[in-house]
Amino acid sequence: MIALREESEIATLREANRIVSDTLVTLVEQVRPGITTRELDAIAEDCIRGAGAAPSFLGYRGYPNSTCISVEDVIVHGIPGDRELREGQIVSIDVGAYYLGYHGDAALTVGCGPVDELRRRLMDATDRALSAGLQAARAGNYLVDVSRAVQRVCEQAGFSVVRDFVGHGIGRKMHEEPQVPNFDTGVRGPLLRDGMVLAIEPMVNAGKPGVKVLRDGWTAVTIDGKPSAHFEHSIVVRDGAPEILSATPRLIWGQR
Amino acid sequence: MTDEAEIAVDGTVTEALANGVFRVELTGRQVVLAHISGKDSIRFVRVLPGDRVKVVLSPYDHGRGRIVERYR
Repeated sequence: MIALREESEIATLREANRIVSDTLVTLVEQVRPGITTRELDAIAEDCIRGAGAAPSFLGYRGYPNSTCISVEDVIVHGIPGDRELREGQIVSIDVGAYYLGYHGDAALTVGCGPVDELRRRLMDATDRALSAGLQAARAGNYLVDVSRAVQRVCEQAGFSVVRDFVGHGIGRKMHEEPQVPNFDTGVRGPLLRDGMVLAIEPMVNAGKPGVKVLRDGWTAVTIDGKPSAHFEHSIVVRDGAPEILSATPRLIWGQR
Repeated sequence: MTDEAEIAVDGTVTEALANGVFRVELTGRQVVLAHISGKDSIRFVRVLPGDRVKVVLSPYDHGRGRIVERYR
């Protein structure tokens, strides 16, 4: 059963996601050559706790940190560590926060300094794919319409969509029904209705769509070593239309 | 954080355990515990050893799944 949230719940979700987006903005400002992924994670944890929330990822299914920081060919679930960012790399940052019983979840990918044309196009396409997916998340559409919209933008740009990981409903738990694939599975899925809260998160690879999970059990990398981008927003369907809970005027993504 | 996509795999029921749970050997020889889905259960549809079924594996535990389809 997909939960339909009431206004009071949506208000709390908005707050949880505001904490997430504020944290993301702070982290993006800190991205520079030489900084380690561990340092970024520590900044995030401070931001989240300072706002009165708890990091959703910490301890989730055994995950050891507050954020996922995925550099270059790491698609998602990069565990923060001693890896230093270098100029020309792209880095995806995924943050989750738990506030007054509800979760927020959002992510974006940025370049460390100037990046090459391929990476610029990859991030651009992934961001546009998220925008397309968000706009398709309206009452009266089916879940598959969101998935198709994301896939269309990615593949038209010549990139591939990751299939092994999916977006998800979000609310009292971080992952709730439904699963939101970023490609057309052939199944129409549920009819979208007011009150549904979804985290839509396209993951797009420059090369092949395949995923390999490393021995740490988390880090997911591209099988061909080419880079991957990831953008995510949490939205609620409200008055028939999608409202982005994780939007912030300080930084815009997923809203082309 | 992303969720892992549910994976649907084919298999053959090897053993019927209690409460609508079955042992299923998947195509890749992996053996999982799979439970009958609610729709089949409330319609009193029977699943028997030897049936070929499609199982959706849980992203949380790859040793457990849900029987979603019975092949004729």
